[in-house]
Formats: sequence, C-alpha cells, structure tokens
Amino acid sequence: MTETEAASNPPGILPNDPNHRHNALYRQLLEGVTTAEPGRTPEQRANLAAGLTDAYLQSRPAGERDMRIDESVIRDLRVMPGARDAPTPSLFVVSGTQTPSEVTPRISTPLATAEIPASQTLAAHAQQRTVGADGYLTDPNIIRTSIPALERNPLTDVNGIVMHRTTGSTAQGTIDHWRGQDRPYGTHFLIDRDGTIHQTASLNNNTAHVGNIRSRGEVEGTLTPEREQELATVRSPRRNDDVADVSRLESARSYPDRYPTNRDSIGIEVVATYNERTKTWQEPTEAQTASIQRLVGTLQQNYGLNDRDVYEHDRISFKTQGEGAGLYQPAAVRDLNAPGVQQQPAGPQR
Amino acid sequence: MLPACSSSPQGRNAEPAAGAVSVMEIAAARYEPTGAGGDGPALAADCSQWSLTRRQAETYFRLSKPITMAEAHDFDTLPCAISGKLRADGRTWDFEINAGATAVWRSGADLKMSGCTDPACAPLVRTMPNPYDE
Repeated sequence: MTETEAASNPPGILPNDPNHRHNALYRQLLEGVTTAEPGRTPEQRANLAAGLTDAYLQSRPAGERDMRIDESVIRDLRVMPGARDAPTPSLFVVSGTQTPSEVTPRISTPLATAEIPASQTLAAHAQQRTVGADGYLTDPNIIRTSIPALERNPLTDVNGIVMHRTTGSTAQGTIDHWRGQDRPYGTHFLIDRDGTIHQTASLNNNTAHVGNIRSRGEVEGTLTPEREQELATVRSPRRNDDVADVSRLESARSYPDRYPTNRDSIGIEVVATYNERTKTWQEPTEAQTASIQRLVGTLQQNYGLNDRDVYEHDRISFKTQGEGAGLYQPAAVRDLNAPGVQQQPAGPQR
Repeated sequence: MLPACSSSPQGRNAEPAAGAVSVMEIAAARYEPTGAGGDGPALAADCSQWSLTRRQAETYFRLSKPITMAEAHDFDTLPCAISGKLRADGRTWDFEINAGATAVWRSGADLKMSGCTDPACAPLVRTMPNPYDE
C-alpha cells in the first residue's frame, strides 16, 4: 500500500473504538468487568472485556455478527464471575436475571484473557472505515460539495439513514437553495438525476433533515398500555401542538424504540420533482438507483446498520406522502426482483 | 369539493385592496389519511378540533409568505387541511391550508404556495415548522 493509499483508506477499527458498531457492547461489558473484577488494572479489565466481547459476538449467528445489536439488548447484559476453583476460572456474560448455567452456549472468557492484549482478541472484528477523519467518505467518486451551514451538532451515534426527495429538478438548484440560507434544513448527501453523489456535510456532524417524528409504537402497532397513556397525556387538549409534543416524547426514547432523529441519523436527498396537481413524485433514474444502493451500502458497512435502519422520510415524519418511497431497495426486495424469482406480496416497509 | 362551506355575501362581492386577501368561503377541516400507520384516530381527532373563520384565514394569509417547492419541503405536511375560496390580485383562487402551516392557491393553471413561520400563526394551525435542531 502506498502512502497515498494509506491516507485515503482509514485502517480498520476495533470494538474498543467509539466509532465501531459494537462499541456499546464493549463498553457495557467493560463496565461489568470493572464491577466483577475490581482488583484488576485498567489494561487487564480492557483485555477481559475484549475477551467477553469476542465471545459474545462469536455466539451470534454468522450472518448477524456484523450487525449492530439493539441498545435494549446490550443494556440487559451483565458480567458474572464463575467459580474461582473451576478448572478454567472464567467470567460469564448473562442477560437480565439469567445465571451462567442458563445461557446456551455459555458466553465466557477465561480469566487468563486478562494477559492477552485486547487488540489481539478483537482483531477478528475489525471494521473497515471509509469515512475519513474529517467525516467525508474517501470514495473519490463522491463529489465533495461542502456546505458548512448544514452542519449542526456532533454526530456521535448513527442509528439510521433517512431517504428524502428534494422537490427540484437539479442538484445545483438544491445546493443553491441550501447555500442561500444561514441555517438551511438539508442532508449529508445529495444524489443528482445522473447519479452523481454529492457529500454536502461532514458525517462528524448532524444536519437538520428529519423534523417531527411519529410515534413508532403507534405506526407499527407495538404500543404498550403505558406508552399509550404517555401519548394520551401529551395530546391533552390543553396543549397546542400535538405533533411537536409527540415528537419530543418519542425523541427521548432510545433507538430502535423510536424512529431516528436528526441527532442520530444520516440524510440522503435524491433529486426529484413533485407534481402538486397529480400528487406524484418523480421516479429515480437508473443511475440514481445504482448510486443510492451503493451509498447506502457504504454507510451501512461503516456504521454497522442493516436494511431495517433505512427509512423513508414520510413514513417516520410528517411529510408529503411518498417523499422517501421507492428510493432504496432493501435486500429482500432486490432478491424478489431477481430473475426467476416468483413475486410475493411485499411486507410493510419501514 | 368544499363540504360545509360557510360564506358571506359581503365577503363574496367585496374586492380587497391591492395585495390584500379576502376569504369568501371556508370549509371545515378535512382529514385525509396518507396511509402511513401513524395516521390514526389521534390525528383525526386533532384535525376535527381545528377550524378557521374567514377572518382567521385572512390573518393567516397576511402572516404567510410566498414559498418555493423547495421551501415547502421544510414544513411538516399533516393529513388535515382547510379549503375555501379567496379573492386576491383581482382574481378568485381556490385555496387549501395544510395544518402544517403551508397553503396552496390555485386559479386556472396558476398555482402559488405560501408558508407561515411567524409565531403568530401557531394558534391558527396544528403544528409550526419544527426547529429541526431538537
């Protein structure tokens, strides 16, 4: 690898790096190790947490090891010490009120792992990053069209990708619109009709593109009675703006109990017009579809997201119907469209 | 098209001053679910509680500004709208105010859009543009 290649290809990162998709898991287990093994040095605790992280990830089905784990699952994990006089004294990972013997297969790491460097243990879970330190993708085919006014606060945790359409006929029109405002609403990426991808904002910062979010539980029919009551309370007739109040309530929940917000999502605008008379959106060109698939795939790879984390703006927020529809094709839909595959009714999209 | 319209003979015939808007007819709020799962009873109920008098609609239009399609994109669009007829610039327009603080005027082939970001519009619609920074 030449020096230039090394600079443009950021090295892989390990789960103990804050940008790794499994860093939350590593941190949870490190906290558990700190409680279970208080006498250890910080380095030994880190090595043990690495061992448990590796064991936990190895216990997952092969196809799911690269996917991010729900926060609620991670929060439920605890670390328990095994018997000191066992043939191989170990630490165990359990969930909720489980005991180590109830976990099949057992998720554990020998205490001897404390002496094995975390970097060695975690090497199998290295995640390649194509996001440079400045938050721009290193792919030379993505045009850097920086519009600093789009950037708001640090984007530390990416949980979702939100697909938008612009209501315009050219990328330049949208760029001019954004550049003409002090604090524009807009997205990190903009895909022109010819498929050109512009990165307009650094992925180190969020942008304002989602707006008020709907109640995910209500949309997807998963509301608990408690959540239903919370919604009823914020929708009290004494309040003025139910939409904003519900959005605030939802935003305080953890993902994926809620839809992504500006704080934890990447936005992609696709250039397309809207016909106000026919109430229809322009379909993406073939070149746009190819760019959408490529860009979303790259972002999924970098942030450990899957197709369930890709959203249509109008499904999660209050926007013109169909704004984000038919842009990204999830793998399940792509497979259905493959030659020789019999068409089946599609399930609900997120 | 305009169920439950209320109208005023004076309003219908009066010609507003240049640049002014005179609302001649205004209908009850109409709930039109988009099919998104969240468009449920709560939004329908909220919509049913919304109404504007002709005078309130005129105030709304006075506070609003013309917007482009790109600017309209920055507002929320709710499945709830109030429609009616107005007189402005010597012409009669059909209008529709969305509960998310945008409006569309149509007259023949002409179409105009407006949006309101003035806080004084808040009591006149169901939600105002989100600060997006929350």
